[in-house]
Amino acid sequence: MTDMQLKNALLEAQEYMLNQLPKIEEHHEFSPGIQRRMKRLIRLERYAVWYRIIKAAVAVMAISIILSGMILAFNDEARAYVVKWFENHFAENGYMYQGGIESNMDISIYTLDGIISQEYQRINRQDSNDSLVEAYADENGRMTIFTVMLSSEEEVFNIVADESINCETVSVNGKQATYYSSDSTDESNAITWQGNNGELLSIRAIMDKESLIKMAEAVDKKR
Amino acid sequence: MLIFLATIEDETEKTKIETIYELYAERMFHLSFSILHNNEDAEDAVQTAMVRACKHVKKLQEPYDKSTMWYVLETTKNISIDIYRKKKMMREMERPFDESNDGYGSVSQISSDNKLVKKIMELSVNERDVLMLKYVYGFNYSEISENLGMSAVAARKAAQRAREKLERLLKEE
Repeated sequence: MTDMQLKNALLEAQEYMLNQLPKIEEHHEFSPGIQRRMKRLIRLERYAVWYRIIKAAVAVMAISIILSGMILAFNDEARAYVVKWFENHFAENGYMYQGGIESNMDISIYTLDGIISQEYQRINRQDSNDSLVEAYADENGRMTIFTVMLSSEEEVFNIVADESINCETVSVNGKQATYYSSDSTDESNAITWQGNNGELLSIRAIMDKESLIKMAEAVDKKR
Repeated sequence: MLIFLATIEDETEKTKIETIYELYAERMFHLSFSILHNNEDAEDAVQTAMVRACKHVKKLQEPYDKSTMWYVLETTKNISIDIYRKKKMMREMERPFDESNDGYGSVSQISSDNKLVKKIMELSVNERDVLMLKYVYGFNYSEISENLGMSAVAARKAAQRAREKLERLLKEE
Protein backbone atom coordinates (compact mmCIF):
# COMPACT_ATOMS: atom_id res chain seq x y z
CA MET A 1 0.00 0.00 0.00
CA THR A 2 1.64 3.23 -1.12
CA ASP A 3 1.15 6.62 0.53
CA MET A 4 -0.73 7.84 -2.53
CA GLN A 5 -3.08 4.84 -2.48
CA LEU A 6 -3.74 5.47 1.20
CA LYS A 7 -4.33 9.17 0.61
CA ASN A 8 -6.80 8.55 -2.21
CA ALA A 9 -8.64 5.98 -0.10
CA LEU A 10 -8.77 8.41 2.83
CA LEU A 11 -10.23 11.11 0.56
CA GLU A 12 -12.88 8.68 -0.65
CA ALA A 13 -13.67 7.78 2.95
CA GLN A 14 -14.02 11.48 3.77
CA GLU A 15 -16.48 11.95 0.92
CA TYR A 16 -18.48 8.97 2.12
CA MET A 17 -18.63 10.32 5.68
CA LEU A 18 -19.67 13.76 4.50
CA ASN A 19 -22.47 12.28 2.41
CA GLN A 20 -23.86 10.68 5.59
CA LEU A 21 -24.35 14.00 7.32
CA PRO A 22 -28.01 14.72 8.07
CA LYS A 23 -29.67 17.70 6.42
CA ILE A 24 -29.82 20.88 8.46
CA GLU A 25 -33.44 21.18 9.55
CA GLU A 26 -33.29 24.49 11.35
CA HIS A 27 -31.25 27.61 10.60
CA HIS A 28 -29.12 28.82 13.51
CA GLU A 29 -28.49 32.52 14.00
CA PHE A 30 -25.13 32.93 15.73
CA SER A 31 -25.12 35.20 18.77
CA PRO A 32 -23.79 38.79 18.35
CA GLY A 33 -20.80 37.89 20.54
CA ILE A 34 -19.64 35.05 18.33
CA GLN A 35 -20.28 37.07 15.17
CA ARG A 36 -18.10 39.84 16.54
CA ARG A 37 -15.33 37.43 17.49
CA MET A 38 -15.47 35.71 14.11
CA LYS A 39 -15.33 39.07 12.35
CA ARG A 40 -12.20 39.85 14.30
CA LEU A 41 -10.66 36.46 13.56
CA ILE A 42 -11.30 36.92 9.86
CA ARG A 43 -9.72 40.37 10.01
CA LEU A 44 -6.74 39.01 11.88
CA GLU A 45 -6.28 36.26 9.33
CA ARG A 46 -6.57 38.72 6.51
CA TYR A 47 -3.96 41.04 7.95
CA ALA A 48 -1.61 39.03 10.13
CA VAL A 49 0.37 40.63 12.88
CA TRP A 50 1.98 44.11 13.05
CA TYR A 51 5.20 42.26 13.20
CA ARG A 52 6.93 43.63 10.15
CA ILE A 53 5.59 47.11 10.62
CA ILE A 54 6.69 47.28 14.23
CA LYS A 55 10.00 45.61 13.43
CA ALA A 56 10.61 48.03 10.60
CA ALA A 57 9.51 50.90 12.78
CA VAL A 58 12.05 49.88 15.40
CA ALA A 59 14.69 49.69 12.72
CA VAL A 60 13.77 53.19 11.57
CA MET A 61 13.97 54.47 15.12
CA ALA A 62 17.22 52.71 15.84
CA ILE A 63 18.79 54.01 12.66
CA SER A 64 17.57 57.53 13.27
CA ILE A 65 18.85 57.49 16.83
CA ILE A 66 22.21 55.99 15.90
CA LEU A 67 22.84 58.17 12.85
CA SER A 68 21.51 61.43 14.06
CA GLY A 69 21.26 61.06 17.80
CA MET A 70 17.90 62.72 17.52
CA ILE A 71 14.42 61.40 18.18
CA LEU A 72 12.20 61.13 15.12
CA ALA A 73 9.68 63.93 15.47
CA PHE A 74 6.17 64.20 14.12
CA ASN A 75 6.85 67.10 11.79
CA ASP A 76 5.54 67.07 8.20
CA GLU A 77 8.89 66.35 6.60
CA ALA A 78 9.69 63.44 8.89
CA ARG A 79 6.17 62.09 8.52
CA ALA A 80 6.42 62.19 4.71
CA TYR A 81 9.79 60.43 4.86
CA VAL A 82 8.52 57.60 7.05
CA VAL A 83 5.34 57.17 5.01
CA LYS A 84 7.43 56.83 1.86
CA TRP A 85 9.78 54.40 3.57
CA PHE A 86 6.90 52.15 4.66
CA GLU A 87 5.21 52.38 1.27
CA ASN A 88 8.36 51.22 -0.47
CA HIS A 89 8.69 48.25 1.83
CA PHE A 90 5.10 47.15 2.23
CA ALA A 91 3.27 48.24 -0.92
CA GLU A 92 3.26 44.70 -2.26
CA ASN A 93 1.62 43.31 0.88
CA GLY A 94 -1.51 45.38 1.28
CA TYR A 95 -3.18 48.72 1.23
CA MET A 96 -2.18 51.39 3.69
CA TYR A 97 -3.28 54.85 4.48
CA GLN A 98 -2.26 57.13 7.28
CA GLY A 99 -5.06 57.96 9.56
CA GLY A 100 -6.91 57.79 12.78
CA ILE A 101 -10.33 58.75 14.07
CA GLU A 102 -11.58 61.58 16.17
CA SER A 103 -12.07 60.65 19.77
CA ASN A 104 -12.07 62.36 23.10
CA MET A 105 -10.05 59.60 24.65
CA ASP A 106 -6.69 60.66 25.99
CA ILE A 107 -4.37 57.79 25.15
CA SER A 108 -1.33 59.59 26.53
CA ILE A 109 -2.17 58.05 29.91
CA TYR A 110 -0.88 54.73 28.63
CA THR A 111 2.68 53.73 29.42
CA LEU A 112 4.75 50.67 30.18
CA ASP A 113 6.73 52.61 32.79
CA GLY A 114 6.43 50.89 36.14
CA ILE A 115 5.18 47.72 34.47
CA ILE A 116 8.06 46.55 32.30
CA SER A 117 11.02 44.90 34.00
CA GLN A 118 13.66 47.28 35.32
CA GLU A 119 16.26 45.77 33.01
CA TYR A 120 14.51 47.69 30.20
CA GLN A 121 15.01 51.42 29.76
CA ARG A 122 12.71 53.59 27.71
CA ILE A 123 14.52 54.92 24.70
CA ASN A 124 11.71 56.64 22.85
CA ARG A 125 8.12 57.74 23.22
CA GLN A 126 6.00 59.38 20.57
CA ASP A 127 2.37 60.26 20.97
CA SER A 128 -0.23 62.15 18.99
CA ASN A 129 -4.00 62.45 19.29
CA ASP A 130 -4.61 59.04 17.83
CA SER A 131 -1.49 56.98 18.36
CA LEU A 132 1.19 56.32 20.90
CA VAL A 133 4.41 54.34 20.65
CA GLU A 134 6.93 53.60 23.37
CA ALA A 135 10.19 51.77 22.77
CA TYR A 136 12.25 50.11 25.48
CA ALA A 137 15.58 48.32 25.28
CA ASP A 138 17.63 46.24 27.65
CA GLU A 139 21.43 46.22 27.87
CA ASN A 140 21.58 43.48 25.23
CA GLY A 141 19.65 45.60 22.79
CA ARG A 142 16.46 43.55 22.99
CA MET A 143 13.53 45.83 22.23
CA THR A 144 10.03 46.01 23.62
CA ILE A 145 7.54 48.12 21.68
CA PHE A 146 4.23 49.26 23.14
CA THR A 147 1.64 50.84 20.87
CA VAL A 148 -1.80 52.31 21.41
CA MET A 149 -4.02 53.33 18.56
CA LEU A 150 -7.56 54.58 18.36
CA SER A 151 -9.77 52.45 16.20
CA SER A 152 -13.36 51.61 15.45
CA GLU A 153 -15.10 48.30 14.75
CA GLU A 154 -15.21 49.09 11.04
CA GLU A 155 -11.52 49.69 10.64
CA VAL A 156 -9.08 46.91 10.03
CA PHE A 157 -5.52 47.12 11.09
CA ASN A 158 -3.05 46.70 8.31
CA ILE A 159 -0.92 43.90 9.53
CA VAL A 160 1.57 42.65 7.04
CA ALA A 161 1.38 38.92 6.56
CA ASP A 162 4.33 36.92 7.77
CA GLU A 163 4.34 33.18 7.16
CA SER A 164 6.37 32.41 10.26
CA ILE A 165 3.82 33.91 12.68
CA ASN A 166 1.39 31.78 14.68
CA CYS A 167 -1.74 33.29 16.21
CA GLU A 168 -3.63 32.17 19.33
CA THR A 169 -6.62 33.58 21.20
CA VAL A 170 -5.80 34.43 24.82
CA SER A 171 -7.39 36.52 27.57
CA VAL A 172 -6.35 39.88 29.03
CA ASN A 173 -8.39 40.54 32.16
CA GLY A 174 -11.25 38.60 30.62
CA LYS A 175 -11.06 40.44 27.30
CA GLN A 176 -10.29 38.48 24.19
CA ALA A 177 -6.77 39.14 22.99
CA THR A 178 -4.53 37.67 20.35
CA TYR A 179 -1.08 36.34 20.97
CA TYR A 180 1.29 36.13 18.02
CA SER A 181 4.36 33.98 18.26
CA SER A 182 7.24 33.49 15.96
CA ASP A 183 8.82 30.12 15.20
CA SER A 184 12.19 31.56 16.13
CA THR A 185 13.23 32.16 19.74
CA ASP A 186 15.31 35.12 18.61
CA GLU A 187 12.33 36.91 17.16
CA SER A 188 9.73 38.89 19.06
CA ASN A 189 6.28 37.74 20.00
CA ALA A 190 3.32 40.11 20.30
CA ILE A 191 -0.02 40.51 22.01
CA THR A 192 -2.89 42.76 20.86
CA TRP A 193 -6.15 43.57 22.55
CA GLN A 194 -8.83 46.22 22.53
CA GLY A 195 -9.48 48.62 25.39
CA ASN A 196 -12.92 49.66 26.60
CA ASN A 197 -12.97 52.77 24.42
CA GLY A 198 -12.10 51.02 21.20
CA GLU A 199 -8.40 51.72 21.38
CA LEU A 200 -6.14 48.98 20.10
CA LEU A 201 -3.15 48.14 22.24
CA SER A 202 -0.18 45.96 21.48
CA ILE A 203 3.06 44.90 23.09
CA ARG A 204 5.83 43.31 21.09
CA ALA A 205 8.88 41.83 22.81
CA ILE A 206 11.24 38.88 22.97
CA MET A 207 9.21 37.40 25.80
CA ASP A 208 7.02 34.35 26.29
CA LYS A 209 3.26 34.30 26.24
CA GLU A 210 2.79 34.43 30.02
CA SER A 211 5.06 37.46 30.38
CA LEU A 212 3.29 39.32 27.61
CA ILE A 213 -0.14 38.54 29.04
CA LYS A 214 0.99 39.66 32.48
CA MET A 215 2.25 42.98 31.12
CA ALA A 216 -0.88 43.49 29.05
CA GLU A 217 -3.08 42.86 32.08
CA ALA A 218 -1.06 45.33 34.14
CA VAL A 219 -1.41 47.98 31.43
CA ASP A 220 -5.10 47.26 31.12
CA LYS A 221 -5.67 47.58 34.88
CA LYS A 222 -3.50 50.66 35.29
CA ARG A 223 -5.33 52.89 32.74
CA MET B 1 6.49 56.65 14.79
CA LEU B 2 3.45 56.29 12.58
CA ILE B 3 0.92 53.47 12.61
CA PHE B 4 -1.16 52.80 9.53
CA LEU B 5 -4.75 51.69 9.14
CA ALA B 6 -6.40 50.01 6.15
CA THR B 7 -9.91 48.98 5.32
CA ILE B 8 -11.19 46.11 3.25
CA GLU B 9 -12.56 47.85 0.18
CA ASP B 10 -12.86 45.02 -2.31
CA GLU B 11 -15.53 42.42 -1.47
CA THR B 12 -14.02 39.94 -3.96
CA GLU B 13 -10.91 39.63 -1.83
CA LYS B 14 -12.50 37.32 0.73
CA THR B 15 -10.00 35.24 2.58
CA LYS B 16 -9.98 31.48 2.69
CA ILE B 17 -11.03 31.51 6.35
CA GLU B 18 -13.87 33.88 5.66
CA THR B 19 -15.21 31.62 2.92
CA ILE B 20 -14.76 28.51 5.07
CA TYR B 21 -16.75 30.19 7.83
CA GLU B 22 -19.54 31.23 5.46
CA LEU B 23 -19.75 27.76 3.96
CA TYR B 24 -19.51 25.55 7.02
CA ALA B 25 -20.21 27.48 10.24
CA GLU B 26 -23.80 26.40 10.46
CA ARG B 27 -22.97 22.77 9.72
CA MET B 28 -20.23 22.95 12.35
CA PHE B 29 -22.71 24.35 14.86
CA HIS B 30 -25.25 21.60 14.24
CA LEU B 31 -22.60 18.90 14.54
CA SER B 32 -21.39 20.40 17.81
CA PHE B 33 -24.92 20.86 19.12
CA SER B 34 -25.66 17.19 18.46
CA ILE B 35 -22.91 16.43 21.00
CA LEU B 36 -23.27 19.24 23.50
CA HIS B 37 -26.97 20.14 23.29
CA ASN B 38 -26.16 23.68 24.35
CA ASN B 39 -26.11 26.75 22.05
CA GLU B 40 -23.37 28.60 23.87
CA ASP B 41 -21.04 25.62 24.13
CA ALA B 42 -21.64 24.69 20.51
CA GLU B 43 -20.85 28.25 19.37
CA ASP B 44 -17.68 28.22 21.47
CA ALA B 45 -16.68 24.94 19.84
CA VAL B 46 -17.24 26.47 16.39
CA GLN B 47 -15.14 29.47 17.26
CA THR B 48 -12.31 27.32 18.64
CA ALA B 49 -12.45 25.15 15.53
CA MET B 50 -12.19 28.24 13.32
CA VAL B 51 -9.20 29.50 15.30
CA ARG B 52 -7.53 26.13 14.74
CA ALA B 53 -8.42 26.19 11.05
CA CYS B 54 -6.94 29.67 10.86
CA LYS B 55 -3.71 28.37 12.30
CA HIS B 56 -3.45 25.58 9.73
CA VAL B 57 -5.15 27.36 6.85
CA LYS B 58 -2.14 26.97 4.57
CA LYS B 59 -2.44 23.20 4.78
CA LEU B 60 -6.08 23.21 3.71
CA GLN B 61 -7.25 22.98 0.13
CA GLU B 62 -9.67 25.51 -1.34
CA PRO B 63 -12.76 26.24 0.81
CA TYR B 64 -15.16 24.35 -1.49
CA ASP B 65 -12.99 21.23 -1.44
CA LYS B 66 -14.56 18.37 0.53
CA SER B 67 -11.34 17.72 2.38
CA THR B 68 -11.57 21.24 3.81
CA MET B 69 -15.13 20.61 4.90
CA TRP B 70 -14.10 17.36 6.53
CA TYR B 71 -11.26 19.05 8.40
CA VAL B 72 -13.37 21.81 9.93
CA LEU B 73 -16.17 19.42 10.85
CA GLU B 74 -13.83 16.84 12.35
CA THR B 75 -12.04 19.57 14.29
CA THR B 76 -15.37 20.85 15.57
CA LYS B 77 -16.36 17.34 16.57
CA ASN B 78 -13.12 16.72 18.47
CA ILE B 79 -13.34 20.03 20.28
CA SER B 80 -16.97 19.35 21.16
CA ILE B 81 -16.08 15.95 22.57
CA ASP B 82 -13.35 17.58 24.69
CA ILE B 83 -15.89 20.07 26.05
CA TYR B 84 -18.33 17.23 26.64
CA ARG B 85 -15.76 15.25 28.62
CA LYS B 86 -14.82 18.24 30.77
CA LYS B 87 -18.46 18.97 31.53
CA LYS B 88 -19.17 15.33 32.17
CA MET B 89 -16.38 15.33 34.77
CA MET B 90 -17.94 18.37 36.36
CA ARG B 91 -21.33 16.66 36.12
CA GLU B 92 -22.67 19.46 33.98
CA MET B 93 -23.85 17.30 31.10
CA GLU B 94 -27.47 16.34 31.27
CA ARG B 95 -27.63 14.40 28.04
CA PRO B 96 -25.15 11.59 27.41
CA PHE B 97 -23.24 11.31 24.16
CA ASP B 98 -21.97 8.07 22.70
CA GLU B 99 -18.29 8.82 22.15
CA SER B 100 -17.90 5.90 19.80
CA ASN B 101 -20.29 7.68 17.44
CA ASP B 102 -18.15 9.62 15.01
CA GLY B 103 -20.94 12.09 14.37
CA TYR B 104 -21.56 11.25 10.73
CA GLY B 105 -24.42 8.84 11.28
CA SER B 106 -24.08 5.19 10.39
CA VAL B 107 -20.88 4.63 8.43
CA SER B 108 -20.74 0.88 8.77
CA GLN B 109 -22.58 0.14 5.54
CA ILE B 110 -20.18 1.75 3.09
CA SER B 111 -20.89 0.72 -0.44
CA SER B 112 -17.51 1.50 -1.93
CA ASP B 113 -15.86 -1.16 -4.09
CA ASN B 114 -12.51 -0.08 -2.76
CA LYS B 115 -11.38 -2.59 -0.10
CA LEU B 116 -8.99 -0.08 1.41
CA VAL B 117 -11.77 2.47 1.88
CA LYS B 118 -13.90 -0.15 3.65
CA LYS B 119 -11.03 -1.05 5.93
CA ILE B 120 -10.42 2.62 6.72
CA MET B 121 -14.01 2.83 7.91
CA GLU B 122 -13.33 -0.12 10.24
CA LEU B 123 -10.59 1.79 12.05
CA SER B 124 -11.36 3.60 15.26
CA VAL B 125 -12.19 7.32 15.00
CA ASN B 126 -8.82 8.25 16.47
CA GLU B 127 -6.86 5.98 14.11
CA ARG B 128 -8.74 7.35 11.14
CA ASP B 129 -8.21 10.96 12.23
CA VAL B 130 -4.47 10.47 12.63
CA LEU B 131 -4.16 8.98 9.15
CA MET B 132 -6.31 11.73 7.65
CA LEU B 133 -4.26 14.52 9.18
CA LYS B 134 -0.98 12.91 8.19
CA TYR B 135 -1.66 11.66 4.69
CA VAL B 136 -4.36 14.01 3.42
CA TYR B 137 -3.27 17.31 4.97
CA GLY B 138 0.43 16.66 5.51
CA PHE B 139 0.39 17.57 9.20
CA ASN B 140 3.50 16.71 11.14
CA TYR B 141 3.19 14.82 14.41
CA SER B 142 3.41 17.97 16.48
CA GLU B 143 0.46 19.43 14.58
CA ILE B 144 -1.46 16.15 14.80
CA SER B 145 -0.90 16.07 18.55
CA GLU B 146 -2.26 19.59 18.87
CA ASN B 147 -5.31 18.79 16.80
CA LEU B 148 -6.15 15.55 18.57
CA GLY B 149 -5.04 16.32 22.12
CA MET B 150 -2.30 13.72 22.34
CA SER B 151 1.48 13.87 22.54
CA ALA B 152 3.53 13.90 19.34
CA VAL B 153 4.98 10.52 20.32
CA ALA B 154 1.49 9.08 20.77
CA ALA B 155 0.48 10.54 17.41
CA ARG B 156 3.44 8.89 15.69
CA LYS B 157 2.65 5.53 17.31
CA ALA B 158 -1.05 5.85 16.46
CA ALA B 159 -0.25 6.53 12.81
CA GLN B 160 2.10 3.58 12.65
CA ARG B 161 -0.37 1.23 14.35
CA ALA B 162 -3.25 2.40 12.17
CA ARG B 163 -1.29 1.81 9.02
CA GLU B 164 -0.15 -1.62 10.18
CA LYS B 165 -3.72 -2.45 11.12
CA LEU B 166 -4.92 -1.50 7.64
CA GLU B 167 -2.29 -3.65 5.98
CA ARG B 168 -3.22 -6.54 8.25
CA LEU B 169 -6.96 -6.12 7.55
CA LEU B 170 -6.28 -6.04 3.82
CA LYS B 171 -4.27 -9.25 4.01
CA GLU B 172 -7.02 -11.00 5.96
CA GLU B 173 -9.45 -10.51 3.04
